[in-house]
Amino acid sequence: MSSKRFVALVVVVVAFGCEKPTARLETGTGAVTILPGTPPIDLRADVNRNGKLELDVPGEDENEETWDAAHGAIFLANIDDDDGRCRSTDSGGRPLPDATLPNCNDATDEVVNGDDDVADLAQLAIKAWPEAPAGTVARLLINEAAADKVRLFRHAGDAYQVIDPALPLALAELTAGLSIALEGKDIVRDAAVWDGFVDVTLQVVVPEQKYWKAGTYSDTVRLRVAPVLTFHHLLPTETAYASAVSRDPDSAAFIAELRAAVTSASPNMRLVTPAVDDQWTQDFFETGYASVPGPDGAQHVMRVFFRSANIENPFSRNYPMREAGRVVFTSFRGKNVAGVQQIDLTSSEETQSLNSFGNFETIPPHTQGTKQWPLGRVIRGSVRGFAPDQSFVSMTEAQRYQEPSVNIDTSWLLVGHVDETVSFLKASTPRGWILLVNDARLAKTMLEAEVMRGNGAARLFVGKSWVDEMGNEPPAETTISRLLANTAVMQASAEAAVKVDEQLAIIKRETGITDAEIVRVPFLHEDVQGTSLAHQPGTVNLFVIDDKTLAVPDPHGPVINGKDLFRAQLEDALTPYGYTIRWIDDWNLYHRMAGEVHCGTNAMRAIPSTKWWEVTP
Amino acid sequence: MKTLAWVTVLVSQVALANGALDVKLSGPALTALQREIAAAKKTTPGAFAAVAQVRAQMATLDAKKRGRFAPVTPRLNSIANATWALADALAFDGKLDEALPRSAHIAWQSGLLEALGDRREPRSEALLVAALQLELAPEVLRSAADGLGRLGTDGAAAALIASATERRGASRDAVLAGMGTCRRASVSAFLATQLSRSTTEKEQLALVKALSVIGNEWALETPAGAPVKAEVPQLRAIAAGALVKLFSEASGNVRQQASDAILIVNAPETKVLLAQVRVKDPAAVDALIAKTR
Repeated sequence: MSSKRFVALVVVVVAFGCEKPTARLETGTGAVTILPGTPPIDLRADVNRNGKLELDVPGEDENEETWDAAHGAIFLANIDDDDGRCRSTDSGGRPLPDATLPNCNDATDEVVNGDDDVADLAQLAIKAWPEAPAGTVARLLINEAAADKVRLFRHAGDAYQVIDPALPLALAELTAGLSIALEGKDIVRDAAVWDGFVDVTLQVVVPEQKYWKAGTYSDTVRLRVAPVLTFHHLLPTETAYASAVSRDPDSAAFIAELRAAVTSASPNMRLVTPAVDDQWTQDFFETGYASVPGPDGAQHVMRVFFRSANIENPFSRNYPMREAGRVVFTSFRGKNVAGVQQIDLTSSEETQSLNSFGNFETIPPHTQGTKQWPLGRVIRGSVRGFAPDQSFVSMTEAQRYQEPSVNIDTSWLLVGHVDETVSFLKASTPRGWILLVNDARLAKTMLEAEVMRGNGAARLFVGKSWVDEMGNEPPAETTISRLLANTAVMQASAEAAVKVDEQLAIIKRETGITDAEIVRVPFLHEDVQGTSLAHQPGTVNLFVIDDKTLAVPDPHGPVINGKDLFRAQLEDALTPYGYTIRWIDDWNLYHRMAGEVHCGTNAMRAIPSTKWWEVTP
Repeated sequence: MKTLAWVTVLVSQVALANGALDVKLSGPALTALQREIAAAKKTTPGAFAAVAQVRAQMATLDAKKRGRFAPVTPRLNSIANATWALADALAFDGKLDEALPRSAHIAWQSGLLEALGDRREPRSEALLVAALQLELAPEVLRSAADGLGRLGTDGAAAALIASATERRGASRDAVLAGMGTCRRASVSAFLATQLSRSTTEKEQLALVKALSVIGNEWALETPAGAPVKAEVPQLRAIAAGALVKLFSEASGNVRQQASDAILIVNAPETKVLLAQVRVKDPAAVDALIAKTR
């Protein structure tokens, strides 16, 4: 209720002494003239964000029609599948088309599907007005922009019934009060269409009678849908993912190595291995969450999986999208877990790689100038003329709390993902994290130094090959001197050094990170079709198991004095931060296919203690 | 004899039609190429088998690719003694299944062109020049220019300049973008001239890329980086001059790419060149000078 109406209500309460106005008048002395009062209409929501709806707590009612970091009601988009009713095939057993696969969740029916579903609804109430006179007409209205984004239920006993905004409420629902549940039907997709706010208005038309001022009265509560937020590397991994590619021994070997690394670091951590013929586990889904205030200061959480906006079969009417991304709906969607898909099927073929989620990372929390990003901030490769699917970008921008994104130039890379050159690690520093960044210049310097020391003949990539199943495989093995003499490698590496500097300059400008907080990760690039690709295993492309353990691609570098030159460099650089490196041989499955360990993994992480609604975006 | 000659021509044309590209070769160039390939098949049969293996894997490589294209060039580069096996696949026996996606064809054709060029075998010049004369997807045409450029011969330089001069639009941009691997002074001068006349952003970006490659400091330090070492100071100075001029005149993305290219070239005269244009934008020039090493 607004402050103005609250003042009016005080007048009424004083005039009638908190008794029924009719009784007071009947026993009046005749010496006092009582003017008709303003009706005490009161619509409530969890404005004070303590996880419960309180009808008698003033704080629940103050400034309820506004919303900021200090107050304001919140609701979830109820897009999970709590009772597991959603199917991924039609009645004939055929996979549902990409366009319809996402069209099932708890909000796509008008039924409240059990207690788990109730927990995902926002509770509102009309406070009882026992003296509401006959002839009073009340309606619940929703602002036009949000009208198709939410659904209201009247709640009585265990029953939930959809409220039709076109129909008036029963008078009894005013006199006795009404318990209401609000269900969000979707997240914000495009802020230009809907900004995520919903204004629910109780409108009451009071007829002419003796006791109340006739007229139209209203009480409005503003609510905001919870944004979907992504995880940064400072948050503990709860579940790790790596695709299990059928009939691929390299995939099995990679999973075995990863499982050993994960288990040794965190015995309770789950490793989920989706059975898909797509080894790029990082790319076809992204993990996130949405949360609302729960009881006792907790967050009530819905996990969210984004399906990547990749077009894989542009000429397929039913299945144009990247097939592996269907796991978001076929495997992950369920109780307290939602799937989200957003794609522009007309986006260009040339930029499809940018829609993979190796190009959608989250910088850990930081402050720059007067701006703060306590929940982290999206970083992606995107420049004019080489940018990801705009409809997906608009959706993530509309979440607001990790935006505006930091956009760096990845157009010079064959793959074009941010995870090819940068990563972020938790650190016991004032900032709380460090930046790992590829440095081809350092790699060249290290190798040249070994040549000066007489180690030019030391071999790299020993036992590795570029082509599989050859019988007589062309070996990848080379020497330091031959590598430094490789024109295509040195050409691409010189370019990479400058281009990464440019990326770094942007990250420094946007986050304020300093050189002292940056760990240089040396590896050389090579030229492929006029673009750049890590020639040595790109060790920056790593998987953060926890704040002590990293799974890093084995660099297969030259062994000098019994030590791999590049392993030793990275171990020396990260040991001061308390990290142990588990070296993973990803050469066959990932490196020679233009990816590394990070590309082949994914993670669902712990929900941050920072509550998004207490942040000013 | 006349009949036999026609049969030879017909056989040659049929054979050419099965190459990864429909290159048009005839006469002594065709005969010489066939002779080299026939000889290589006897001495290095493993290389042919290895190239064929990569070709057989293209469907899988394309399906599993992470980025825009499967990285085929490194695979082909790793095959020893494969010059004529690569040429054979390009011209005679390397056609991919038409049903494969466009991206697979582009990766395969580009990989062959770049890997063949990387062998720096002058006797492959006729084939690479013939490839450059085809109407190809821009990505493949860029690789054709790139591959031919790596030979660094007078003929390669002349063919590249002619192709870039004759072509228009996207195909011209593709040739321009790829020809920077031809580290010859004549090519550098040509690119600089084109940049001074260029008015479209796409063409400017292609030229900036080419100039950053032709004058690439680290590439020029490698033994095969420049076919004529005496030309290196000149071609690098030309590239640096053209890029600094563009940097001083352009804005936005073009200026940013020019800035990066100046640093990649890192010519000895860069600071002097920048000082000459400092008056136009002292802050930007000073910032760039601070980045030069």
